[in-house]
Amino acid sequence: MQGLLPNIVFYVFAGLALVSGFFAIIQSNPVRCVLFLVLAFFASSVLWLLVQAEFLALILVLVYVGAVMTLFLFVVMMLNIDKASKRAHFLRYLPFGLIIVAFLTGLLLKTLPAASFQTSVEVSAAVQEVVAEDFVPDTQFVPAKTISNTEELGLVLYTDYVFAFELAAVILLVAIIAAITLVHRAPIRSKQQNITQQIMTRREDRVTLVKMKSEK
Amino acid sequence: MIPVTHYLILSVILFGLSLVGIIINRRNVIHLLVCIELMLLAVNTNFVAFSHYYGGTAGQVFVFFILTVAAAEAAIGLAIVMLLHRNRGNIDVDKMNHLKG
Repeated sequence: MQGLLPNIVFYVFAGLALVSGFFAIIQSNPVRCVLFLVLAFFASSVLWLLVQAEFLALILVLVYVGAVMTLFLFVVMMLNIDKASKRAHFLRYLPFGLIIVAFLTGLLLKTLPAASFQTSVEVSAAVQEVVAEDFVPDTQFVPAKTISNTEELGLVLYTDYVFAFELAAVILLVAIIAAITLVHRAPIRSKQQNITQQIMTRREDRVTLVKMKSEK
Repeated sequence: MIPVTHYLILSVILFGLSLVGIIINRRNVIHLLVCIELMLLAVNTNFVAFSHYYGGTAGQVFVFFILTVAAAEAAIGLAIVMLLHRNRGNIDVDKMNHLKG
């Protein structure tokens, strides 16, 4: 991964992510807002591919864009919010907000020492040093098979982080139950029989004896 | 060669943009949720860049869990939005004063 191509890819997609993020926040139409967010996700998934986080990049596209953003779109279209929020309110605060962004970015640039993290993302100096220290010339040295990013992640996910993994599963289960309980509504004209009510019925509720004078 | 600093700058600008989004769209819950997603994306980009810089997988595992929790948060948040819209007919944040907070 040397040469000019990664640079070009990085700057093009970083610009795309920033522009789509900007449009996502200034749109008043929620559908367009979500679609610009999807574009930002795609652009940053390319950026993640560039630092060899292939599994997460694909997860971001498949699960996040494919499921979570689709859920957003479903809800936005189901709610049908036409009443756009007032533009005046929005334009009043925009310069103030942009000043905040400039301030945050400037603060970061000022805080970071100029020499730190200047090495490329592809080659970390620290990693190379560790490898150089640990490396013992061995006659039975077998060159390590390069494993894919997915395999690497899976190896630690099911061993070192197995407790966190199970907790994440529980969190998802709780989210499913909470979402269903919140929005579920019993059907209005249900024919389902209510057993308790049937058992608790007394004779007086159902039958009334009426005494009438017989007609001649 | 792409320095890690550029990833940091990208993510801080994205984070700042979403903060601005929260400030300027204080009326609509959907916009607030979208801005939170954008914020999490910025943080995740940071994690991924540093994970590759230090050559470990811990950062990527962290991103994995952040994505899980964000999905759960989006599901519950959207359920609450639907409930609000069903009960009150609008989802303005300004009118959420039932709890007298």
